[in-house]
Amino acid sequence: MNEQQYNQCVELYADGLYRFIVKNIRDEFEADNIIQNTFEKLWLKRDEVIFEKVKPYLFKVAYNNMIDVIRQNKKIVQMDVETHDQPAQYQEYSGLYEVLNKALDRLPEKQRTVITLRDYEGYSYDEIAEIAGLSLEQVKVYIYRARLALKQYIGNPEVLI
Amino acid sequence: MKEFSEKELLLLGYLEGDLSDSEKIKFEAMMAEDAALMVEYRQLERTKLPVQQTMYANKASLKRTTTPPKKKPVLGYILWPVAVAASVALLFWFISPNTNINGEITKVTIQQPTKQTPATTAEEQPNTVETTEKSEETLVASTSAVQAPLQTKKRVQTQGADGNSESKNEGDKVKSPRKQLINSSELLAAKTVSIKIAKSTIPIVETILETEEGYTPYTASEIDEKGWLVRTTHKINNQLGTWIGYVQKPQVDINKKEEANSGRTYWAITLETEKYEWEGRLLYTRR
Repeated sequence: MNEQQYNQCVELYADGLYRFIVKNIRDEFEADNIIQNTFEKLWLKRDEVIFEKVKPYLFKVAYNNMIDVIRQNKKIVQMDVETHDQPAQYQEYSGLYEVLNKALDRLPEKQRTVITLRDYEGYSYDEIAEIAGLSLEQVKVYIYRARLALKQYIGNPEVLI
Repeated sequence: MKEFSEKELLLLGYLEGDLSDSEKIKFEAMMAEDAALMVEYRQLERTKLPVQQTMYANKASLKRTTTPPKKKPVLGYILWPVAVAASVALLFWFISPNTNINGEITKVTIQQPTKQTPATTAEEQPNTVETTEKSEETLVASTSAVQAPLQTKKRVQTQGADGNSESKNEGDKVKSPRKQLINSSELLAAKTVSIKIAKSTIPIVETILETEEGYTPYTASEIDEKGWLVRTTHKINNQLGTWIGYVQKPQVDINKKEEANSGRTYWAITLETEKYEWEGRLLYTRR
């Protein structure tokens, strides 16, 4: 990949990558760090990375970086730990989007990762498996569980997932 | 890991658009006969996350260029004698024992000026915090060392107490900085320091500086020009400071800022040289 292609990657993928990370980690500062580190790595490896395959490469690097950050900061959200003291109130939300957004926060990390890769980025199961280091079957299960959890939340947001 | 039933597999596949034509027909027939399945599908369909337009604000800082900067036009023949004379004068100035800029910059000194305090040297100020890689020269020049180049600079900025910059005319003297202690716990928090150059007129790649403690000097290998006049501003312990120094490689100032949205703090850098202006962020990761 040459310099021009690298800069093209920045234009094409930085926004999506940032959206993916910030949706999962909910921390703009850390997300910014991860994006910077990811593109730094791409720049250093630009001779090895094929331009046509750069998107999954970027997402994989960013995902691994994000997992490291989550582990470091101990930010892994445990669903069963998450807030009995702050139950979701359906009336607070103006629409389905807000409800979904809130529900997304409550998903376990893996489910949140696969569902955001699927819905935001339109990745196939195979690609998600590659990025997240999961088997195809695991990806399907996580997506299905995530949808069931989101469905349950939408149906009755006061029920904790 | 959960084993899916055929109905669940078809439901998920239909939802994700992964079914073949025959499978789609089969599943639609199943839904036509099973109202509960139809309801289930409708509910799951609503869980698809709407795509949002998210913009990454620092995109420009990610872009790179390896193209060398265009050289300025060579001086006309008539100016050559003047240039040679200036070079000789500069050479004398460089090798003068009163200056401390003639070696490779190997130390970082974070200093905090006061408005009227006379210049001091590193040796005179014991509470200077320094991060050292090789101990040869003090990176931060004292005011006396920088006044000579300052007088040739057309515009010199100083930092007011309110944080606003003001410009001074050519030849104005710069108020003397006083080296000052920076909170060592803040320095110790900096393990990985990456400098993001957001605006630059020269090709600088982002450089990550690994430090065990404190900061290390910014040593972008692309920069080989020497003798840059550098002005930095920083804010430490709620006190604004300005430092103007003559360095061989750019040095960053330290400016702790707070992100509006998240409330997280980060170190910002502002660096102005005689030729270029930079701005960027100095990020750090806690251990």
